[in-house]
Amino acid sequence: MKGIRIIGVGNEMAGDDAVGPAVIEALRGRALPECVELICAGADALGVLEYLEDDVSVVIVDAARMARAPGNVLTFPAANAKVNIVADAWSLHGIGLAHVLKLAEQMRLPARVTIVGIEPASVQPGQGMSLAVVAAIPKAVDSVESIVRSECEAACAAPAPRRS
Amino acid sequence: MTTEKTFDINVHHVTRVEGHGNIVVNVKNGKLEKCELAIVEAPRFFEAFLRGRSWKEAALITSRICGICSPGHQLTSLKATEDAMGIKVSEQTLLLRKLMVAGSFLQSHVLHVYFLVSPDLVGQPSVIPLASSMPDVVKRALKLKKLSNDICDVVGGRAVHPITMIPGGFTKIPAADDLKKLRDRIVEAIPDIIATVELVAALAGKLPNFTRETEYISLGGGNGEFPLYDGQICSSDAGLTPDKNYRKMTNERVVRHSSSKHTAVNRSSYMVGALARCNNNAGKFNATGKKAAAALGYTAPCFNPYFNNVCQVIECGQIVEDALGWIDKLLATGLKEEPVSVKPRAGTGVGCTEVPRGILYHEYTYDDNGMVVDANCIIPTGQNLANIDEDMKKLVPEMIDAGKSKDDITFALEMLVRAYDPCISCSVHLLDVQFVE
Repeated sequence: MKGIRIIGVGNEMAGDDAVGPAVIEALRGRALPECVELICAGADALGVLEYLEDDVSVVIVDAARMARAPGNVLTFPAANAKVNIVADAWSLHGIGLAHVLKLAEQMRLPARVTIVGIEPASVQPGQGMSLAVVAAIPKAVDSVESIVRSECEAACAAPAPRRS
Repeated sequence: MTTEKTFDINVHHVTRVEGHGNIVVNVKNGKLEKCELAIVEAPRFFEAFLRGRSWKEAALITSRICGICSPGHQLTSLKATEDAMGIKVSEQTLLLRKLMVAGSFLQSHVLHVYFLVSPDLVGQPSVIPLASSMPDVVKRALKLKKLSNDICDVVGGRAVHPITMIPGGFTKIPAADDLKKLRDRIVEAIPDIIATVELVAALAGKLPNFTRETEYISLGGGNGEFPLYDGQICSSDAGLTPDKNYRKMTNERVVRHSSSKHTAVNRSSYMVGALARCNNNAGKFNATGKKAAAALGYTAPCFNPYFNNVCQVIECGQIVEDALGWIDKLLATGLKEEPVSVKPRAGTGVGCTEVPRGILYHEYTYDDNGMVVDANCIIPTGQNLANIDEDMKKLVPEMIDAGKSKDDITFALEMLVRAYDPCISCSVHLLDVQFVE
């Protein structure tokens, strides 16, 4: 299946956790190939699971605690990182992306997931992101676009399968 | 007897419930000294936020009490405002609102049963190990979740914190085509509901065999339909009473160990939620509800609080059949735009509906300009807290006498709290990443 799904995850009322949806908003103003679908999942991380059920390339943009300075942007395949499930978070409100990635792995869902993580300064309740994270949005957008460029070559430019 | 005669259980932040609650148990020389569910969440102050706000905003503000029950809070709020201002709604509005209730119940029940309860029944710490052994079961849960979200989306404009519902009616009604598509998808989902009943029926034997009769309070009365949106307050002890009397049917009081108030009516506690609804309204089950109840071994009245989860599954069947009926009625009559014009006026009104976790009350007093002067919201989880404490006080001594270990008792208590599906707060999600070097 063709296509690239870019999914922003995060609670817009939890400080820098808003960065995932903010990057999706910034991407809406960019010229992207038709095979790209922009999805804002907000705080509904569980809703991300259904987008992983197809054999597509998925880019998840989210605030991630990666032991870097606030505003650092890192791109990595989900399979290469050990995403820790923060204890006690299992509830309908609290199903986080970590659970979802683990579930996808256990269910052997076919999507190839790349994460664009942005190191937050604070995810305390309240609206508004820190300066470091706001300043990182263009870099996160660049990172997504560079994935789109390389994936698009693979996804869109691939010769149509020969009919037998 | 247990090997240990003196022990304490402190479950700090019970998992797989919404929000933060601690189980505290002290046993000395085989005798229970203390046993309670301590609620440690901060109060939310929504009633105070509402004061000075407009009648147009009340439902939008109270929707934010909960991300899962947002349609339920809106509907209850709208009913309270309409009651205060003498607004009557059309049959079309009523049916569309009931569809919202259906979507909201289905979503909450499906996720609770599949993701939070089923791990207990198969002896797993969470749903994650189930995902590898039974991926189709998790996929089924997600499919049902998507359907229920889409029901709320089509009717309410979006799945969480809907935007089309206002006092008196709707700002936008769904297109007939969208309702027809929804109908087809609900029909397609019936095998998934049957599979859910079968799955839980196969595991229901794992539910602890514990009973404690209590007072069961839910909506009752009405027109013969299983009441979720309208009706009167029904108590298994005292029968029907109008929703105006809700304060006498709750009696909120402050307790030392909980930041949430406790309630009681005719006994030291009462229960709300799926078990209370089914116990009070089993005579109103439709064919699907009856079939599900029979398959799951439920007969009313049932005094085992762990059966609340079984009743959630019965309600899924019940709701799906009712929702099809409501859509058919809407399509048969033909959907039409109904302009809403409301003149705000002073008054006090009560709204009462069922939400997935039990009966919910909102009461507002408005001034001449339609500004909120006073507000009161009584949430189901708060109403269940005293009952959870009472269940624990009976369960722990029974398990001590049966020689159960501290671990067994702890597990049974956590499972009990989860059976009530308590909804204590909302939380932040953040990825915590370590790189594989």
